[in-house]
Amino acid sequence: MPVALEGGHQKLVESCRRGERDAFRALFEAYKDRVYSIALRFSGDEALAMDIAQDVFVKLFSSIGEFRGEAAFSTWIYRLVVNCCLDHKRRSWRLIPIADDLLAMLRAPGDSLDRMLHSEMRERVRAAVEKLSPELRMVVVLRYTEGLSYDEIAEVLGCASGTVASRLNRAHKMLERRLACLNG
Amino acid sequence: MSEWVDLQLAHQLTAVKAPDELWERVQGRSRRRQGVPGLALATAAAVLAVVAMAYSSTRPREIPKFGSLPPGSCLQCHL
Repeated sequence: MPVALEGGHQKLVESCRRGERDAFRALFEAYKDRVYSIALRFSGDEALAMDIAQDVFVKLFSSIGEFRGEAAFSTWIYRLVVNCCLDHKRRSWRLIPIADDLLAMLRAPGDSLDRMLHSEMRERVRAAVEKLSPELRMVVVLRYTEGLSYDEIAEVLGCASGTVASRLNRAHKMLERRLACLNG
Repeated sequence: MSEWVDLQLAHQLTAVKAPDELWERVQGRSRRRQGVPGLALATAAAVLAVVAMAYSSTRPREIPKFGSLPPGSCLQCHL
């Protein structure tokens, strides 16, 4: 949790503007897990999540001068992540991995089978979340992966808290229907 | 709101650690994964199918060689 960063982000941002490499690294270390987690839970694909996270930090470092401090720094970064996730979603064609996925399968066939047997529930939940519309899915990810409050999500997405509550409610109902068979 | 769904989401959508190579990627030291856009593959397959169909429909039929015709065949058309 970059609590200290939130308090002293202005100095760090200033250092980044001056092009100080250590400041960039500090910012990256403070936010990398949050950015990657949102990207992964939204996209459901590790390679795609890496692409999204890379884009987020490249944009962050190139546009850090635009941060005016009107919102919390974390809110500003969350907005970048949300926009990058939705941009990747709009570019609807997915890359078909040639080398990476094949190599991963060849490296650990036993692990793959083991994972397949033990992660039935995770896969079902992940698949059900992936079927949600991007707007509903993003609210679910911000709520459950990042633990943001309704107000915080509303600030990130630029909508009312009521809209967030409504989207979460709709998402819950859809997921409940889709996962009903698993809830013995 | 179903408590079971709430619990499952909280359990399955937990935050994860970013891979170490992300910093390398951000610095531009390593490239994105190599891949071929699905649309490009589909387009290439469609073009090949169209070319194959066009080729098969325009290919001239084999004309029998004169040497292979039985004697007197020419008289059937040319009296």
